[in-house]
Amino acid sequence: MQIYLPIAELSVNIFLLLGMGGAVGFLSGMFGVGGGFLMTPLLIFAGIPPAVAVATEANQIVASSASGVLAHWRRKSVDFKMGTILLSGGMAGAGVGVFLFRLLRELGQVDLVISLSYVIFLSVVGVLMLAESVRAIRIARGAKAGRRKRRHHNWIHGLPFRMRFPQSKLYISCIPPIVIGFCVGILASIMGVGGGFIMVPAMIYLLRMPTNVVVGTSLFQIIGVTALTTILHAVTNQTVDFVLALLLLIGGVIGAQFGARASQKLRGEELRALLALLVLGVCIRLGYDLVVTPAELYSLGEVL
Amino acid sequence: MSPLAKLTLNLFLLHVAACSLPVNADSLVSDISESQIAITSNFTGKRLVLFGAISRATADQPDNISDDAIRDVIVVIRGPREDLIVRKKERVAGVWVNTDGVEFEDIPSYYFIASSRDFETIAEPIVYRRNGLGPRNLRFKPTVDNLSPDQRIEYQEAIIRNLEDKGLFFEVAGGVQFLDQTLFRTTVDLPANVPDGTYSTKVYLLKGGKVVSVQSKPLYINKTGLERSIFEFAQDDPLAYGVLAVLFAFLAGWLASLMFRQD
Repeated sequence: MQIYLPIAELSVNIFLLLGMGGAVGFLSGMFGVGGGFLMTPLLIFAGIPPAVAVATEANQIVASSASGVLAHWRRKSVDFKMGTILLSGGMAGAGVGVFLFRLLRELGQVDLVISLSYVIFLSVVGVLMLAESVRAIRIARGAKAGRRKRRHHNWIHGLPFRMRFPQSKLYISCIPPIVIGFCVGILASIMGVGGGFIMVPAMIYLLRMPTNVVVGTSLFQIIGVTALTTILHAVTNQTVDFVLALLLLIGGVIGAQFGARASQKLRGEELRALLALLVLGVCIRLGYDLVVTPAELYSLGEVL
Repeated sequence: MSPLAKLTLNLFLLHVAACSLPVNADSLVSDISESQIAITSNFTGKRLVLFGAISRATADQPDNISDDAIRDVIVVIRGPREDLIVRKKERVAGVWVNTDGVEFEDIPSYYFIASSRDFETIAEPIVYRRNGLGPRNLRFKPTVDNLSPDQRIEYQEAIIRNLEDKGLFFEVAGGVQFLDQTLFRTTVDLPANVPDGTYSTKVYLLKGGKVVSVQSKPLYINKTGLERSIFEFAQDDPLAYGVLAVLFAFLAGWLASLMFRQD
């Protein structure tokens, strides 16, 4: 059954969209990742214009993060003060990102920049995940784990404008969280991702936040940034396709529940290695499309 | 009445009209199976039937073409005009990158041309050029004037190729079938991504390689229902659209967390 998407202006099989939402939702439920970095390339492969894919995916992430953050709120594992600082940086980043996005559209380079950003980020994330899961598999099979270095105070603790974050039990400068939030905001608006895969490691290793508040706090920030990104894209680019977002959301919500249940029964390390391979596969496909000689050298664009 | 029955009746009436009227020049009547097309959520494209009849002159020949000359019909459907930017890709550091674009005005967003025989056999190229028939005889106006004639042709060909790939430009030699001496029909495919707006359908009657009669009619393609409302909402009040999209997303997330709450 085909459905006409009013903003993307094309008709797509409704079950393909539900299935994609479900599959990515399953993976995100299983691994606790947002899934935006898989969904946006999949939408592009399915023929959705990249500009529409990015803006619509931001809208969908609002929904998937909302259900996540509510669960964390009930468990009181959200550091609202840190979240607000991260969010203030994120909102500035989203503003800059959407402005850049508009500029790139006018120059006809937005598709290229989206693909290039994905190739870079997916290759880094894929390689790191693969390395990490291979190490975990070896540990699980009885190999000796290398001794970890003790954590030292790093340069971040020497910065000014220090603030207290009681829930995270931190007394650090507010500059690093603002900078991290800003970078994630730019990523969200240009790539249509939540940015959790950058923010969570940054919060743990750079800010040294306790792990129990990291996921809830990052979801809190993601929700604010993607909500603003959605609105800004709607205003400047008119590329948010609500029908598409709704279909992905339905599939995603259901998929995430099954994924979360499956993760309790299955072995994590092998699956993480598989996810890493999947990420690398998507990355290679996007990269291949950039370097292979296109069948048609000319393309048509609308006048903005 | 079913569309098919309506069509058959129309054809019959046209036939009667064409045969009974004594006229002194060849003329034609035609109609299209649907002149109002609505793009709804399950729109996957549409096949239209354009049909008509020609009446042969019975009296003297004011156009000075012998009565035995072969009659041909050419059907042209044009979509609303639009402006486009054409960009050429070049390899930069191994990656294909769009270079500066050239803007063109007044490009038909849809173009269909079908003829009763091969285009070359029907008439001389000059006839097509004079009447602007065929995608290569359309005037695509660049907004810059530093294009060489060769570049212009290169860009025009690129536009035609791109729109053909999207199923928006068609050239169907032999697409118009004569059912007998007077009745003809052709099928027109509108793809799912057909732009909306007012289209024009033109039917040309040629006799001995010369255009002797032209008939034109509008065709309306509109997005309707919820899709139209969503599209217009997003264009007219983007801020409210964005805020509403976000609120809906919050609501959906909250509902999901209620439904699957595990405690």
